[in-house]
Amino acid sequence: MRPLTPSGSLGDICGKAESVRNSKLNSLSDQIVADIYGNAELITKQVLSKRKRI
Amino acid sequence: MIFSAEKKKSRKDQIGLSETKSQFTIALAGNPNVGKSTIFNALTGLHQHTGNWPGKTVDNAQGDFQYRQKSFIIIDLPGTYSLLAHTVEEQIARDFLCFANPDVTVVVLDATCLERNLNLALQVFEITPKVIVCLNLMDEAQKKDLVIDLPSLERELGVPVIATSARQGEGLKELREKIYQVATGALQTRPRQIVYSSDVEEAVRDLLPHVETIANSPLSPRWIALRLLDGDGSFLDSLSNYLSIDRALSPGWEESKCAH
Amino acid sequence: MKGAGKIDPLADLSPGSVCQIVSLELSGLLRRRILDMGIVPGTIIRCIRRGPSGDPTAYLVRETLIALRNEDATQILVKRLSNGEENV
Repeated sequence: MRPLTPSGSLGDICGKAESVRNSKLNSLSDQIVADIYGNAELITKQVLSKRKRI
Repeated sequence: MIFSAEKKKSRKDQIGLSETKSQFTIALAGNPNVGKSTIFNALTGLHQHTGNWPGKTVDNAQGDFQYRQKSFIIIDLPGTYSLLAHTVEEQIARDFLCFANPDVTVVVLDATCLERNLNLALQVFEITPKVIVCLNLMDEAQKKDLVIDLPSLERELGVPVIATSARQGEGLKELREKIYQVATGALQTRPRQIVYSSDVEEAVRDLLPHVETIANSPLSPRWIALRLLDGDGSFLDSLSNYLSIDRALSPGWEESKCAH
Repeated sequence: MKGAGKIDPLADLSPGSVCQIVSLELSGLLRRRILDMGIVPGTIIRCIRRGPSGDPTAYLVRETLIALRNEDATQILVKRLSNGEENV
C-alpha cells in the first residue's frame, strides 16, 4: 500500500493514521472488513431460521 | 490543482437538486439485484428522470412523489455490495451519503441473502442515522422457507424494518409512511454501530484526537478515523474536496488517489 | 490455528467440501474485492461445482454463489472442515 501524502492539517492526520496502521501487526483494513461481516453474521444468526417442511 | 468555490457546492447542488424547505431528500441504497429499481418506480411512478452522475458514466435516476402534503425527492444510488469505495459506484454512493446529507436513506435488502446485504446496511448506519431498512423479496424468501424474525431484526438494527415484495406491490404503503415519519422527525432512529475488534478500536482511539481537529466536517470523527485507518485514498479526495482544504494540496496529494 | 486442520489452497477443494478461510495471499484491488464479497478470515465456504472446463469454480459464501478463477483461488488459504467425496 502506498502512503497517503497530502500536506497541511489533513496531511498531518494522514501521517498519524499511517503510523498507527504500520504499528499493527495485522492489516487494519482487512480487520475492518472482517468485523463488519462478523456483525452481519451475528445479527443474521439471531433473526433467521429455516421453516421445516412437513 | 485549483479548487474553485464551485467545488465547494454540496453533492445536492451538483446533481441539480434545489432544496426547498418542504422538500425532503431520500436516498435509495442497496446491493445490485435487490429490486431497488422496482421500489424506485413504485414510489415515484412516472415522476422521474435519468442522467449521469456528474463526471461519471454511471446512471443517476431521480424521481419525486407527494405524500401527506409533503414533497419528496428520491435519488436512486448505484447498487453496491459495500461502501468501502473500491469501485466508482461505491464512491458515488458513499459520497452522496456523506456529503449530500439526505433526510432519509432507505437501504433495500434482499431477504433471501440477509447476511451479505446487512454488510451494506451496517456501513450505511455508520454514516447517517436516519435510515429505514426495506426488506425486499419477502415472497422469494418465503419460497425458500426462510423465516425472518422482523421485530428482533428491528431491535437489533435500531431502525424501522419494512418487509416488502415490491413486484407484488406489497409493503409499499408502509414504506411510504415510514419515510414520512423518519423524514419529519416523528420517528427517531438509532442505528446499531459496529464495535470493531480491539486492534481497530485501539487504533481509532489513538487517531481520534487528531481527527477531531478537522472543523466543519458533517461526518463523525470516528467514521473519518476508520476510513483513514482503512487507507482509503478516494475518501481523502472527497473529504478534502468537500472541506476545500486547498492549502493542504501538494503534488504528493495526487498519490492518494490510488493509495491501494 | 496451526495444527487444527490441514491448510490448503481453496482451489484444491473438490465440490461438496466445506472449509474455513485462513488467509488471503492476494494483493491490490482483487484482494479488496474478494474481501468485500465477504471472503474474510474465518468465513465458511463451500465448494459447489467446477465450470465446464474446470475453471472457474463456484463457491457458496454467505448464501451467495460466487465464481472464482482457480488462479485466484490458489492464493486463498483454507482449513478443511469436511471433505466433499466422503460426505456425498
